[in-house]
Amino acid sequence: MSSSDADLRQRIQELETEVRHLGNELRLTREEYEDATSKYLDIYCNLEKKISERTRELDAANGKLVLEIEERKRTEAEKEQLIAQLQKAMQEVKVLSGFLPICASCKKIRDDSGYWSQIEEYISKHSNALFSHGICPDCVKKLYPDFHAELRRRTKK
Amino acid sequence: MDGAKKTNISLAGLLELVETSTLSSIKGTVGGILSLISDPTASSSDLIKLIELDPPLTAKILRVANSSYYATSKTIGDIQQALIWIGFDTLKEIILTQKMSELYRGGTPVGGYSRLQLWRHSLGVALLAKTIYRREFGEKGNNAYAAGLMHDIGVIVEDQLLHREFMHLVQVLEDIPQPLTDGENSCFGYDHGLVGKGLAENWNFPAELIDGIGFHHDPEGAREEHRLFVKTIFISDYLMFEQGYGYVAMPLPDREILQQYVRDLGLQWYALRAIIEIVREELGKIEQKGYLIA
Repeated sequence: MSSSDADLRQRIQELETEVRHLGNELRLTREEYEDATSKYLDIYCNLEKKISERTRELDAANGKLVLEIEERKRTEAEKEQLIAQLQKAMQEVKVLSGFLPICASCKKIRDDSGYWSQIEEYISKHSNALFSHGICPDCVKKLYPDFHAELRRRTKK
Repeated sequence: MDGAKKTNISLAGLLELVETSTLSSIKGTVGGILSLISDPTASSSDLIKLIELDPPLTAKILRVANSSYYATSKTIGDIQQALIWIGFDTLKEIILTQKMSELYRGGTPVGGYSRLQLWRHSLGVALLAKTIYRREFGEKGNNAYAAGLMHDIGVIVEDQLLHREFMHLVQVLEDIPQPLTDGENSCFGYDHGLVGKGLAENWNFPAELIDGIGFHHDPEGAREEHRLFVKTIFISDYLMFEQGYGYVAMPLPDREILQQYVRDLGLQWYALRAIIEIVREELGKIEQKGYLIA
């Protein structure tokens, strides 16, 4: 075999090796590509799943939030109402807590327009208080002395 | 060995020291990645979960994924995108490479030895072993890459934990050339293969990897089912030293052993030469892009 034949044979061997190497690389690269595609799909599916789970969680949280907002609005309205009642009560308390011009003799009270009212009438008008009339023992003695004496006699027995 | 400083630390003592040293910081992630490499059913979410446990790693992966080395057409913003654009297997290799590179930082060059040279050698052996698997055997060779990257983990353990004695040893090797394993046996009573094997066993590495690390200087000592795998690591280790990717001044073993293992694997020299050329180009690209050290 001449040296050029040997060279040619070696070159053929080298080329065959190169073809075999590239064939192996190509097959492995194809396998890796398929693997990467399946991994990509795996990630994509997981992502879809995660998105739908997260959406469900957000919907639930949103529903809870709406209920909470309504509850807060209701509480707020109740608070407003209470404040208004309180303010009204405070105003009334203020009327009765100021200086009241009162007659030293008949105990009538003078209002802002200068009109003199009976004390019962005035207080009833400016507060929630109501009057129930009775008579005290001193006034019984003064106004109804006979009835007073009779009462005392009965009590002693 | 004359002139070498001897140590009193036993192999078991050294392996105990590893567990309390900074070396053990890579244990969780590296162990997790090796499990994923060995498990064909592992899913992308398993890998993402593993990365999420190590936040600084995410930033490093994204930096590497966006580097000109991978030259993707778009900016990769998260691990999911990295997984799609770079691929599951490459991403596993990036993680393993990043975590392992943490052990090779720092250090001062002494004699013909430096941590950077050792890392360059490990990366070269990893690429060569993987390319032999891919081009010649038509297999992915993820375990071959991992074994190549970690085959000298025992050396970095000695460098970090028996630093003074190891530095003295590499200095002596420069003056009196002899195999590193002989020097280690005289100095420590064990060699880096045994240290690496012990560490790989303690960290529950896959059996093939334990043999690849433990017997890369003596493939005949490995379990029979792993012998061809370990011979691939031996051949890659030998050839990278021969190609100028060594890390310590020492004579190589008898070339006849290499020839025998090449025959055992059914490899042809012209095929190996073509593969070496691919790896040299790849390493050149890695060094040129400044990707050698994290």
